[in-house]
Amino acid sequence: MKVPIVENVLKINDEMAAMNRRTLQDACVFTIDVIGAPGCGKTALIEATLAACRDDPTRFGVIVGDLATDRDATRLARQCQHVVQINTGKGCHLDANQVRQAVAQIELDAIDVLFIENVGNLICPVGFDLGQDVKVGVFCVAEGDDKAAKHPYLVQEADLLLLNKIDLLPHVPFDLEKLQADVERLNPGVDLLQVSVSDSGLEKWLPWLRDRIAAAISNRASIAQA
Amino acid sequence: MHELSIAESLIDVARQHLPPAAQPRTITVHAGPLRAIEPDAMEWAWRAATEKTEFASTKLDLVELPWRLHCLTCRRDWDADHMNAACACGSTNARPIGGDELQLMSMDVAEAQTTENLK
Repeated sequence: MKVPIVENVLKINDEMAAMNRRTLQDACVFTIDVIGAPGCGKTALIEATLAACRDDPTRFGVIVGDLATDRDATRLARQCQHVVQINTGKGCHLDANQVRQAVAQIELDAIDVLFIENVGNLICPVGFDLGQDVKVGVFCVAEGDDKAAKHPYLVQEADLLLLNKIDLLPHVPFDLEKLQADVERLNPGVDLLQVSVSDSGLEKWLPWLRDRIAAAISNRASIAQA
Repeated sequence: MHELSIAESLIDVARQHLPPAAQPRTITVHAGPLRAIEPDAMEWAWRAATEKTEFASTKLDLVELPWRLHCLTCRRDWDADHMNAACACGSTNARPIGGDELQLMSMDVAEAQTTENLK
């Protein structure tokens, strides 16, 4: 006997993600899922962002996912009081349930923005909604110029793409126009911003971030008043 | 290895649709190419995840959907084997449409044996 079903296989994750989204939005926390390969500079980007925004009124929290160790959390805790490390063990991506448990450890009234640094991986994290407001994909020039074409799902799903380590561009074979063309084909109109964490080259990323934070906070304030 | 997470999630969703005491024989899943599911890895993950569950002997029928491309030159939509396939017009400037499907489509089940049948 054949039973017709037609149901999203990741329904349970997606329902949990929707609960996370509601919890975070009710608390007026703007949440950013940061996805990129190991070594592309995700942690360094968040560290540099926290340092650059030290005098902003915005208060940050970070959930950081790794298979093992709390080294990233230790690094980030130097810049931020609200850091939770998730160790996934064998898991190659974060899921909504892990994030739900981590969010429960954060005092949401004490933060305005939550970074979720996903496990270093360009494939598996993309399909698992965590309850974020935006997904930011991070590539770096040392990875080569074909990363967008090889990872179409991340490029399509990203609200913003960053190209990190741009200071290394003169030293590596990298065709910037090729990467830009692949990105434009897969996700027309998405911003691909060049950044360099190591020499504080964040002048394109920080205005994007500050604009989004301001928009999210004013949008939620107007919803709360209505 | 997102296949293992997908297998575990698939068990949870399939369980919600399994008629009481029915034996699931085949479970059919449609996966779009953006999901990057490796069939061998998926089969292995399904076997590992279903061990000691009611799906231990259930066959997983994974249907890999083709790329659906939209040609930016001649505006044609067509199914292709890979994302960078050339259009019939010769252009290689095409954009994928959809491709992120991941759905449990159906389950083939053996109906529960009644105590009458067992005698």
